Amino acid sequence: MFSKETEDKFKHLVSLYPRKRSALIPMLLLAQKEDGYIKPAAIDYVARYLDLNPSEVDSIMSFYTLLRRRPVGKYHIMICTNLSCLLRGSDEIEACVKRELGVNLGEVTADGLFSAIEFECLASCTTAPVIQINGEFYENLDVRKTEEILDELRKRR
Amino acid sequence: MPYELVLFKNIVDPRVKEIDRYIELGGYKAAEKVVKEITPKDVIETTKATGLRGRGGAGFPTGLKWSFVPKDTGKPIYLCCNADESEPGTCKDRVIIERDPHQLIEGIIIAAYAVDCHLAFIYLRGEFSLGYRVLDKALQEARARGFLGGRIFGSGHDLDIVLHSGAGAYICGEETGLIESLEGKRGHPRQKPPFPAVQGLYGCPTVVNNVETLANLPHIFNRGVDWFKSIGSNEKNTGPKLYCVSGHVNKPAVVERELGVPLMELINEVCGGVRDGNKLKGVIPGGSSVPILRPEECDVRMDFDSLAAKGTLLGSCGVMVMDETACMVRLALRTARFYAEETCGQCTQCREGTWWMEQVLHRIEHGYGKADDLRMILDMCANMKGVTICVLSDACAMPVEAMINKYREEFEYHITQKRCMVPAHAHA
Repeated sequence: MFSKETEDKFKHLVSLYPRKRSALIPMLLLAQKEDGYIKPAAIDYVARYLDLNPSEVDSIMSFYTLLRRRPVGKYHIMICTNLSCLLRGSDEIEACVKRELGVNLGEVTADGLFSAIEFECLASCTTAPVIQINGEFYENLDVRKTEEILDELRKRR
Repeated sequence: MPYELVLFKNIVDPRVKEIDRYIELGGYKAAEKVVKEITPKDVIETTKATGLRGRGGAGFPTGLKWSFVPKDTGKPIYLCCNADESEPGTCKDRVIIERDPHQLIEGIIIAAYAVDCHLAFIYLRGEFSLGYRVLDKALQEARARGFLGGRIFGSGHDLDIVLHSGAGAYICGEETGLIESLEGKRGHPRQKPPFPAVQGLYGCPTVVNNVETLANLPHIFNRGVDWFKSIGSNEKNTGPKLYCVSGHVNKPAVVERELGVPLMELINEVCGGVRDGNKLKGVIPGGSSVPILRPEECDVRMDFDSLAAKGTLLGSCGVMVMDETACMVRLALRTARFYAEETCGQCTQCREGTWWMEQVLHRIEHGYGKADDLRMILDMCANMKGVTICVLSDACAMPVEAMINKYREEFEYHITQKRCMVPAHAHA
């Protein structure tokens, strides 16, 4: 189901905790890292691994915003719009990302390269406005800097 | 005298992440001394004597929290470092995690020894990818040195630390939500009592401490109680403190000063004043969960008791500054939306209250507000405080209530004129 590397990490994770169920969320994150999102088969697999009911894993998964049921773009953009970012112009960043991608938040571009969502406070308030792309921070943004970042990623593909 | 940095002393040194450099600068001396020469009881007593209060938001005395852990249950005792930093406006723990991870690990070693814990967890916010890599490497380095593992520092104490990633849920920063999440469940806060000190992770005695709280410990055991107490505004508010100053200031920054630094000094002298010489409109002093201060209330020290006396809270020290261009209705709406998004949904008052509050504020912001709306929101606020399992419900009601009460004319203008009274937002 998963690569040898991920399987090894699963085994290691489960060994870390006094009760193996504690490995659930880290395991789902690893599954997502490998597949880009969490497939129904991965839910079944992880549930079996930890002696849980798949529906319970499904329910737990729905509680955590980083765990996804659908594919996202190769570059997944999370735009912080909470207070500190709002005060420093996250409206413009959000509008810029939408314009550049040509899709609404929550959608994936036709070439599969980008997707973007609005996100709650990313704990980077003193370098607002900020976004994260694939988990890495891009701070002190303005519209021009945002356009440059997206251009750069397009070139890299 | 200029303030002498403690927690951030080495933060600009790019090499302090590496264990060799950290040790070269005096690191791990305190932890070694503690586990080899001091009894756990004395570690607790010393920490109590410093007056150190939790830096996560609640301000509960750290030593006292540790002293509630029963020693005779025969069950293992766990320590969880709360690194799930997600209170809007707060970004201080991230700086320690990414730039000086050994300071945190050393603090965890001291705390774990004090409560007789042999397995500790760092519950790290899932969004902190860099932080995860930095901490993971630092933990490996500490293990390789024998500072973690069996018989640490050659003492009789065993300790390992597991780095655990969360997956995006604000409520997992609440200590019992964190514990549930660490058990592999939805992060639903638990009814208290029993408190985690008695019945926490896996039903065992558990201490949950914030990153910044733990980072204070090496310094306390290097420099002593009197030194620690010499910093701060009074006996009940001691030690160094990190402040995250964001929003409409010229130089937003995470800065360290004594607990109790005057708020206006922080804004004007440390962060370059309100941006572009604009007029100050208000300050949220402790993260989005706390009531806002009007400019005339800002002559206050940033400590637990001085802010409580002003009807607000020090919280997580997320200081958000607003100038005259900020629209209070928009901010109230954004605040309510956050809590509506993050409520775990267990308690009706919170699940329904946050959602309705967002709906009503949304219509006011967009020009569809009704004459009775403010009374209705304030009534909701009154019914959301002190009635739920955890304080997320209060954390939504308190700031929204304060924004309406302190800037009421703006909300009324939105309702009657169907637009914003702040020029920059006049199109709204």
